[in-house]
Amino acid sequence: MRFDDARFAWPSGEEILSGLSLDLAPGQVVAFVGKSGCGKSTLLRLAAGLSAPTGGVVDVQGARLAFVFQRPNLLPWRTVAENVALPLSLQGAEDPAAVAAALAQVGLADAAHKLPQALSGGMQMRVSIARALVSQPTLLLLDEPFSALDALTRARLHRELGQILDERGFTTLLVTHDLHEAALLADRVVALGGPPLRVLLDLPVALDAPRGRRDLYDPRVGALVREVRAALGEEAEA
Amino acid sequence: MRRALPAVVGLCALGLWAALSARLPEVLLPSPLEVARALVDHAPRLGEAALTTTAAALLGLLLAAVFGGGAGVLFARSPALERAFAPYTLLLQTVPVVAIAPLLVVWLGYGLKVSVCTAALVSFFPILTATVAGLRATPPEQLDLLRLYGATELQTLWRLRLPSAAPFVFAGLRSSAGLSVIGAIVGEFVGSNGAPVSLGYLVLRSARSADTPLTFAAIVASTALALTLYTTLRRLEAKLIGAWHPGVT
Repeated sequence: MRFDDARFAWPSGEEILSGLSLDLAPGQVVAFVGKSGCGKSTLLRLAAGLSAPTGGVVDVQGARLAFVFQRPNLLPWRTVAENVALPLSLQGAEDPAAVAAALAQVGLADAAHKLPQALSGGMQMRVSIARALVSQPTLLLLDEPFSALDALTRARLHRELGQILDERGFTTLLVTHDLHEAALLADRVVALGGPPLRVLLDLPVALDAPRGRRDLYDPRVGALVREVRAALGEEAEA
Repeated sequence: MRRALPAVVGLCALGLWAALSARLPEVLLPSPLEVARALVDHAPRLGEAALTTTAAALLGLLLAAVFGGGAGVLFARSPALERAFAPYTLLLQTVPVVAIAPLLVVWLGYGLKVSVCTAALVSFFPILTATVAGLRATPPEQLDLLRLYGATELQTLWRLRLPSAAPFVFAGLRSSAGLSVIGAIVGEFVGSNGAPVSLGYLVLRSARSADTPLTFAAIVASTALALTLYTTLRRLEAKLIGAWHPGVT
């Protein structure tokens, strides 16, 4: 996918994107990091087609999209399996086997008939990931999916999502505040400033897959995190 | 303690009522015992009357749910439509149903039709406003989710907006349940000729003939009817949405 001189402004005139150009290779996992309010989430909404650019081009080249929101965003009156089946049932393509496979992939096969409120926050987020996987996406959009979880759950989901991304190989845009999360999951880290949104730094992550917690102590990760922090103006806090 | 407190208040009120009634003529204030006796003595007639009033209140509530809920869906979908019709729906709410009831008798004649209409008229507005509020309260993130997966307007309404609005709609229905009994009885005051006998008719006739214990008995039956409707709706709500909506027990 590509952003070509993409622009976006609110009706009030506030400019969020003023000509952003960016190319993503197929299968690449790109992490966008930046301060709150710089326009990262708007970037994902533009890619998802949930907001229309006010200028330029956002081209997803006919990709099948899936979105994982900051909160699990499950429909409380539907069971776990019904929530996961939602993207398929909206297309009239019910596929219980695909739903079961997606739930198994996130380790929730036993929870299929439960209602979301019977699950912990981490389990709800895994249901949300299963819902994204079930439609066999070619472009996965993740908007700070683990920001509301505790550290242990976050670490487990990093590992699980990392495996899924390695196996399935879809192009992924990950918005995150967590630089270590970016280093663990992404092939490329883009540091953003703004608004209006601009690319401060665009770095490859030179680690082999699969990655794990031990990679957090890899000197290359430390160097990457320091470089991104410096670009974001957070060097003093590092 | 939570249950004992209302029971103590109720017993105190009954005691006060009994004490007052001992000092006043029965035609002004019968004792609780006389009212209980009237309830037993007139049980078959009160039962028949309660059935008629229940039918009127339920049919009125059903009509209000269909038209109020339907209008709510249209208003939530189109703010222009809401702007065009809102003053007139408000008019329905503000014109006293007592003033409209005689006109309904002129148009529809005596019988159940008048009390069904008055019950529907007073029940309509709470259901309409609750439906509009519920449909507009759909979380934007959930709307985004359905948009992302290409949901049609109808799919969004059926699979997201309506289930999401259900707690609001039930709240509206519960408010309207008591109102529908009031509306039915007001309709019966004006539009019932006693065939079939109804609670409104019994209240009016017994008061006119100074049979105050029967008037009180009919009032007790009306209150019991409104409470039964309310609790039935509460139970239905708990059964249908209680599993996922934390406010319902």
